[in-house]
Amino acid sequence: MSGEVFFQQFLNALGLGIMYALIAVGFTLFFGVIEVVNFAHGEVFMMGAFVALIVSGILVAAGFTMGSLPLFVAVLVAVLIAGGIIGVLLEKFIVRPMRGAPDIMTLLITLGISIVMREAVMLLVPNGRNPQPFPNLMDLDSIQIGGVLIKPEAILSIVLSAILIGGLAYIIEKTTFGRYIRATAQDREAAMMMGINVKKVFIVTLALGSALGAVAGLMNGLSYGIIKFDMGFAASIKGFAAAVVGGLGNVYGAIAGGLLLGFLEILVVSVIPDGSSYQDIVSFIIVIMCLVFRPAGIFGERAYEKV
Amino acid sequence: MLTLVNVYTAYGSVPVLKNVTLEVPDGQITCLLGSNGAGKSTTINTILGFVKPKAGQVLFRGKDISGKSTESIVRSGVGVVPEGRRVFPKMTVEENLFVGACACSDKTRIKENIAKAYTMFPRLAERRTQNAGTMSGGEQQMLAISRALMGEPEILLLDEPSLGLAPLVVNDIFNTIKQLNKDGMTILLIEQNGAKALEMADRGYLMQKGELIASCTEKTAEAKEKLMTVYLNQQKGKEA
Ligand SMILES: Nc1ncnc2c1ncn2[C@@H]1O[C@H](COP(=O)(O)OP(=O)(O)O)[C@@H](O)[C@H]1O
Ligand SMILES: [Mg+2]
Repeated sequence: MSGEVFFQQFLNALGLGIMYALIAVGFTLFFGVIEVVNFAHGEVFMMGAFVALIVSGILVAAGFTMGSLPLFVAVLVAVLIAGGIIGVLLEKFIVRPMRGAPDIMTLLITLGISIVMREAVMLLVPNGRNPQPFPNLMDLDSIQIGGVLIKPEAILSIVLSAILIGGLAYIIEKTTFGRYIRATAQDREAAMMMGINVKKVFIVTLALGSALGAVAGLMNGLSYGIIKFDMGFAASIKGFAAAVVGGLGNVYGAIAGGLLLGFLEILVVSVIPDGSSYQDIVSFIIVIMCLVFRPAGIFGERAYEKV
Repeated sequence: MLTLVNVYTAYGSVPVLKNVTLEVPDGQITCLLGSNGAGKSTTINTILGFVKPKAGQVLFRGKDISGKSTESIVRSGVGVVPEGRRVFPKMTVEENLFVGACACSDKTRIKENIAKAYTMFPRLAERRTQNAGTMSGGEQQMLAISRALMGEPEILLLDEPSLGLAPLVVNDIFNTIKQLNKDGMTILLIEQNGAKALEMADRGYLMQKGELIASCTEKTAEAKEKLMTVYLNQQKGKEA
């Protein structure tokens, strides 16, 4: 493999990995704080992509220029907000009513709602059954590094994802409300005894995780230029795999797990002949190996383990 | 300050508290004794609204708080040091204290209260950046007490604060409780360490299988002795 190809693949892996990380932190937060496995999370990813598509269309009709910075920022904010709102709705109509029900019931309900979300997008978006071309939201000059021509969208996605993940880590580690989130994850009853409004913690957690998941969908559209109503399923599997690898409940583990998965997939694709047909199997193998050999994740412990 | 009137509590269909009536008067130490599984922690869970009483009232400053959310009960002035301490293990000492102050929005007051906690327990000041889960049981208990005080409660509920601690540390904790009470704090103290708790209490109750079977409401040696005799007989009956 030449150095240039290697560098290109490295960037691909980084882009893919950080997108998985963006999805995985949601899974791991929901599990760590609320103790739910939310399989509707992949559909939030899908909806993020479609919200970006629709909002950019509206903005262009309103006079914004496709590919301009204001349009991109507006779309990004819209996707963050839409993701947050979907998260709040999921809390109110799925997670809260299912409180106290057996875990498997909640899991099945989130699977059920994910089918509803998928079908709704398929039916409501014009020609929704087919793949939709994703607009080039941000016109950027191609970048050349050491003779390698790099897709600027890739760099944009990586930088933005890194900023968002950093922002989330900051909120959790440094802010007052982040402390309440961690306290709730470590000992929910004790958190209530301190007067923490645990319901609010759940809502904010779902809003934060879902906002990041939705942005991951936007990144996916940007990177591949095409989106489809059923893109959420694979995102769920991979985000969940990354979270399991990192140890469910461990935010930094989820980030590491996402990156690891991204790099492994690209490795498989570029090293094994006809490897791209195996790409999607990697996450299954990883999850199974993890559950068999290291059920607590590669780091061996959950960051916010219960007492 | 706090009164339970004919309280019945059940977990699902399993009844625990039966017709519990007890009073925690202003500025006093009231202790609730009883062996394991008697329903002492359930009494606290009922006061805090973790379980709603099936019948009866929980009056805090004359107002019925049964049915309110735990959050609002705590914020209205009920501080708690839970059984087993329950400090947040992966947070530093100082972060634990900040979480305890979640009902307080005044930053300077929070800082003052943290300083007070460090004066009361210099050990906590030494360990302010250490994760609470790595501290000894006694240090965790000091933290649990300080954390509860960060909410500036009017009444402090302590659930077996001496559990699992070395005798010397138990002495420290009991002295702290006495000092808090001297400074005006109303206290409900739950203990299996009956003699020690009763000795410093103004008032005592004995619980057995969810019912109060004896009490002493006067702070006289005879009244305490009578309660202690029932308590010791009960313990002996258990052993036999
Ligand atoms: N969450 C719960 N669900 C069902 N039963 C419980 C629960 N907590 C306690 N109990 C039962 O209630 C009784 C009283 O328990 P508890 O109040 O913890 O006793 P104590 O604190 O005096 O040791 C025990 O028989 C216990 O098994
Ligand atoms: Mg108990």
